[in-house]
Amino acid sequence: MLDRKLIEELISVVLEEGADFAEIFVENKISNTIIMTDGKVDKSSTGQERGVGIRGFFKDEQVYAYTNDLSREKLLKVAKRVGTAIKSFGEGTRFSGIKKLDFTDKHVVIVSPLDVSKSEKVAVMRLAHEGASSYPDIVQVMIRFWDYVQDVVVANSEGVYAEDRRTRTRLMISAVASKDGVNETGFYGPGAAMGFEFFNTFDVREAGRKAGRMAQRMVTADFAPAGSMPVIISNAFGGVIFHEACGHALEATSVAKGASVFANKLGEKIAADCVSAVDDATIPNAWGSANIDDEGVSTQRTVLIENGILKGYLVDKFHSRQMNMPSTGSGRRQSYKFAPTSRMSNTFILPGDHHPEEIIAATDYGLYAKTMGGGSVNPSTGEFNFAVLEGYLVEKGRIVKPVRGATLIGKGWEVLQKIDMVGNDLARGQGMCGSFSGSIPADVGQPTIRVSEMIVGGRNR
Amino acid sequence: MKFMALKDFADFVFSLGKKRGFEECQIHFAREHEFEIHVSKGKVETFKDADYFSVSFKGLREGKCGRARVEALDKEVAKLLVEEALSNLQVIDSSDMELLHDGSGDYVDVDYYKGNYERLGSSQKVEMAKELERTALATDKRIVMAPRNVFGHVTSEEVIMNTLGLEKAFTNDGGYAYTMVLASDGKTPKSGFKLKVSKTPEELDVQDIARKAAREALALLGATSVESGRYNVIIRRDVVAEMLGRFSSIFSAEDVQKKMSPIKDKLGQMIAAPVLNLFDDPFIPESFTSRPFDSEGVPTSRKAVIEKGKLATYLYDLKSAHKDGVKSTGNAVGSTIAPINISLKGEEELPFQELLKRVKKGILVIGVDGLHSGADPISGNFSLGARGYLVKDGEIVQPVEQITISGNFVDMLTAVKAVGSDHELNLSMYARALALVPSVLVESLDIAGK
Repeated sequence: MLDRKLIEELISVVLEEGADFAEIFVENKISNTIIMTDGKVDKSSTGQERGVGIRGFFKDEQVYAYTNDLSREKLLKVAKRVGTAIKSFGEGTRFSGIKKLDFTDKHVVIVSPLDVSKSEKVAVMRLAHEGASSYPDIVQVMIRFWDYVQDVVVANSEGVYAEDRRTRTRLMISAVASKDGVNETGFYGPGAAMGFEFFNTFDVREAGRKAGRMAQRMVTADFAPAGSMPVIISNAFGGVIFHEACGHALEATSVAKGASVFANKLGEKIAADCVSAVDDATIPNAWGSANIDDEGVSTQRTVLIENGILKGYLVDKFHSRQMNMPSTGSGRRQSYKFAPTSRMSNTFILPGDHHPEEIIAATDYGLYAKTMGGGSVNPSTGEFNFAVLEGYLVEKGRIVKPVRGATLIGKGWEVLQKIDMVGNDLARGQGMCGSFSGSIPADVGQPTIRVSEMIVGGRNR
Repeated sequence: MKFMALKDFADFVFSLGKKRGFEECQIHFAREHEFEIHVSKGKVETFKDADYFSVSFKGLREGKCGRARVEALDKEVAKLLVEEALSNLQVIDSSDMELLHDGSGDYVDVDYYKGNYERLGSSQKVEMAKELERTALATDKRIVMAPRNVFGHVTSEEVIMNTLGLEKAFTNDGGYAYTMVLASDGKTPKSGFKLKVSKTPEELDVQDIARKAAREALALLGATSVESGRYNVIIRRDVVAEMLGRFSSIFSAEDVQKKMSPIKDKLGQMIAAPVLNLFDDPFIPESFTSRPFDSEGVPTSRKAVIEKGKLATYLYDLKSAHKDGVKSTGNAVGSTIAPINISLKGEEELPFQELLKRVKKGILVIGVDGLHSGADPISGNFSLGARGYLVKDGEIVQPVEQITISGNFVDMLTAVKAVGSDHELNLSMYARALALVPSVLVESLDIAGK
């Protein structure tokens, strides 16, 4: 994508001005989005993103610049600008050229999106549409098909030169049910680091039905009750609770400067005994997986919490300097327009002993959050929130009725200690995670869990 | 690679497009210069200085539109644009007519580009970010940290040209600063946040931003949850800006046509309290989202969306307007329909202190969390994490956290009892717009807490 000699030259220019680390990130990404509304394709677009990010460090300061003018003159100018902005009086770092990093591709793609016609993609969307519209009160179905192929090159002054191709395919299904003036939405959005073969791994019509069923159930539901109560959170996308309540606060971005509630707590008990969690970017073809991160470091499985004890953080190259800890291969970015920082990949709570039915049966009164929406967190205070898309009221160990419109709030460090039951039904769900280095694919996951007490933002009786 | 001049590139693409069977073609060119600096503990944590451009192509044939977007300007990508757009067009089976604009109408010329931010030197910019942190830390010894101190500015340039003769360009710029601080009394930390946007650095008082963030964090020390129940609620102006932005898609004619808006079939009817007026105002001089034309090149205009509580108009782009048999209101923003700037005015407005005095038992909401997930513009329902103060008999009595506010956005507009006179220009992130809005008093909302 960019001549290796030119890359070496750019690294040298950044170092010459006094940086003690230089990095070049080259990206070429082709994406395709198709939108079907009401069974008709009304938008289809193709996008190509192509650009270069140039970064320099001097001790604990960093400078980042990007451009998509790939001419040699412009790139040299940008490299010089990065070097100059560092304004260090350092000696300069020795740089003896780059060497190609060899690895085996763990995320093999069988049918590249670039080789699939748009009408084949539309055929998949039609199946999802059919499934989603098969309930009586569905008034609108919107299907979004999204795939991309991203080629990256990462090279740095430590001699790393790594090339990788990331392929992602996702189907997002929204169904709106309307009854007696009430609108409710169901959503399901499966995705993977796969090509078009992804659609051979699950029943697309059933995926559509899942979104439709959710909307249909919720449109006749009462509002969730308001107040503090036990909450059972279902598996798969339910793991967004761990992602928000804990995961973000374990990222070096906030840990390094002591701005996280979990800073300086390694080896300490931060969660109930039944809680163990990992971040694993090596799962073959998972939505948040990759061979290397966006800093050219091989990805890994990082144990975050083991039996309630904090075992590790998610570390990128820049913050590894301040924390004196090696990178965990967690440096990620949306595109060349962002400097990378520590981010989650596929993050989930490990399975426990209980069958999910047992957890419900053991609950006298509470909310069963079957399907979660997104959420957010303030890592400094631990305050998080997330939405329940599909909820049910539990009374005397039984699910008694569907309830809608609930949001769950709490403080991460409190909730982790209040998890009192962990199921055996681990599954993962796909989402887009937004933070300082942009919006990136990430899996969340967990088995069914119960939190003994949480604030449910519903309506008062 | 050699750059082609923009006009030459457009002409080349247009002739290629016509050859491949497009009836009309359009090129939209966007260039951006972005500068952002993060300071923490007196050090420059990130210094970002970047520029990029993109070219979007639309080709029409038989009322259908093919789209493609690239980040280069040469003959090879010109071919890619046209071929990809063509293959995209071929899968479209919606019968809704796509159109291009011919450049007719009145374009309001405002002085959108100031250039003052670009003229600042790097060291001045670094100093502004450092000043945020210094001031915040000096406010009070209970301010233990200011983890984010950010200064940035953006210049964006757009050119749009098509085969119907449209040819328009404009450049806009503006900057911002924000800080996030932590206060601690030795127990649990509280955070305070303040962001300010402006057209020129002279209007950006970083000390004031830092002091406001610090005061907010300090005021939250000792905050607790409250009993669940229904309370009077004052929503502070910056939160009003965020909520209006999140729910702005309810006014999109496209969402209304797709039955995805709670105010479908409500044109001319009351959807808000009679005291409320809501405008789309693309010409607010202090706003860096102000613009003379929208993403389709249609002139923007100032208009009431809600007039004395009545829904005066939906917002349109070319396609949704054609479907309803009306004219585009110039609200195409990227690939969606949105207000350019939001402005809220009361028929009668009260000073903020007067709003407080009218509260017997209520909550003054100064921050909400989870707008992207806990607010649903299709139903209008929301349930959001919130913080603020408990108000009794017109007085603030204690800080509040770990509560949620829940309700329906349209019901809430109807339940507005009074509008403040404390207008401030704030970021309305979800609408990608700025909002010049005051605080409002709402009769009641559901609060969940203890």
